[in-house]
Amino acid sequence: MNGVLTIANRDFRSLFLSPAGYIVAALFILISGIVFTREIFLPGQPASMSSLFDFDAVLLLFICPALTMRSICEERKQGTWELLVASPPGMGSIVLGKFIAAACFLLILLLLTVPCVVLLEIYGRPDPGEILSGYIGVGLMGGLYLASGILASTIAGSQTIAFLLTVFFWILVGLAKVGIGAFGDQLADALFAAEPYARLQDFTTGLVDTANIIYFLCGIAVFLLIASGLLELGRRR
Amino acid sequence: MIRAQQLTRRFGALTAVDQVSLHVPQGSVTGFLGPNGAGKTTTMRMLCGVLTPTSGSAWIDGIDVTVSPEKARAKVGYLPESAPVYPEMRVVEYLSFRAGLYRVRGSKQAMEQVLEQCGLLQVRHRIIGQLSKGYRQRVALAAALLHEPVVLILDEPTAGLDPTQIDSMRNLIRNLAEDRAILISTHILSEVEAVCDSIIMIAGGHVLASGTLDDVRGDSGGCCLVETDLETAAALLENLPGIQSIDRMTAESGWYRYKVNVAAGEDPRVIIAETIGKAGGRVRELHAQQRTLDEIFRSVLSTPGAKDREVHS
Repeated sequence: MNGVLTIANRDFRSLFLSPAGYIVAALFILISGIVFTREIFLPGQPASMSSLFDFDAVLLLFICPALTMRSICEERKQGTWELLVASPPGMGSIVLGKFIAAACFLLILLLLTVPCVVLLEIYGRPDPGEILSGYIGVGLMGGLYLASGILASTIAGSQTIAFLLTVFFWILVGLAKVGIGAFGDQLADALFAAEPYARLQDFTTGLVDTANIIYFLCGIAVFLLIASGLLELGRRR
Repeated sequence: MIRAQQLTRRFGALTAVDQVSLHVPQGSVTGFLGPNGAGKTTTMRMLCGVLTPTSGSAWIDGIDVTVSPEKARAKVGYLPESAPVYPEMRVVEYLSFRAGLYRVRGSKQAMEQVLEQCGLLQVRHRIIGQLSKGYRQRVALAAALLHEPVVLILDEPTAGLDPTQIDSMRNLIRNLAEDRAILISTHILSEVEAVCDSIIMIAGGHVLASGTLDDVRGDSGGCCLVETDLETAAALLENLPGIQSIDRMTAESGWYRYKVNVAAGEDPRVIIAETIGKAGGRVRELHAQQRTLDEIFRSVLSTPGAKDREVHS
């Protein structure tokens, strides 16, 4: 696993050097701020971040693919991919490094919403456990989106395709729940278990379930493993 | 240092490289020649571990690239054809990133050394995307040298450089060769004569000729230039032993100029002069010439075997 941090460090910096990173960050903060002042920070409202977290989860569906769409596509396009592949770290290290870089950027985005919590703390009495659980949930959900985005970036030939692939994949997963009645009971159960939104609801209402944490971590691992497997296959194809 | 045996690479139905064997010893610069699509880049990618061979093996400093690819990759410095770099990074940032990838010990010192070697000291803090093509090429080369690789694989290192830059790049390559094995691909034949001590000619995925420059030149014979006032000289000389073919070049005011292609190891100058003299002609000029690499390359490519293989691959 050598080189993971070196790759993560470079990719993390490059997110800050590209306008896309700043646009994504600005958009996230702006929209989160609007939702916070319009939905939560009102007299008489419960001091709970849960509606912001629910909204951020939807926002992340667009923000995460935007962060990861460049990760491998862009390197392929500018030819640096060949150099990266010719260097000692294996595909697993490269993929993991890229994921860590995007995850750190996401972490910073989430930390930028902390002032909202501080305001709630000043003017109300929020439940810190619920808020922390919400952050963990949104973070894990974002991680899942990022991992799938990296997989899309390895498959797709261009950044746009990588972005659309990720977004449509998760929209389809969401729609599958809507059409769940059409399937048999067992398939419906399986689909429901594979779908992340209901699991996020648990987190935002303050319920930290080990099963949910394992679900997200496994999801992330599966996407990253498929990505590195496909890339390793690319050497042979 | 670099050794390959029966290296083969298929992309679906296409065989890009077919049973290529090669050897580049330490201290040697070997030129890898061939027309576009000959399989040079594919072979180089296999040697650097970017692609896995379909069959056959390759060794970098004794390490099998298919058995322990990570160790083998650590020993190679690779400069791909387009000399890719991250345009948004600064020169030193990029070099320290590469030092991290290769876990270079004492990376500060190593960086200073390659910056100086590649003439980058003045642009070290500049953003790579704003540098000229020549500088970017040098940054890519510096990155390839940073971990002091024992093997250098350079894919068209002088493509897109201006004449002075080409000259300094060639000097640099020659200096680097002292304790390394270097494989350079190019289709500029004069470059090969300027930097390489041996060559490998490849077309259609097959090695057509290889060896030191003198070997390859010797194998392919030479030619003599003859200028005489005997009009029928061509017909006379054609039947002499050791002569392969005769090209008539120019004729001016009664003097005829011929290029006589000679088989390897033959020197028929004396016989030519005698034959023309006996027939009553005079010789104004007669000298032996080494065939240029260009001519050798074309003649190797046009041998029936080569054409055949090119069509089938």
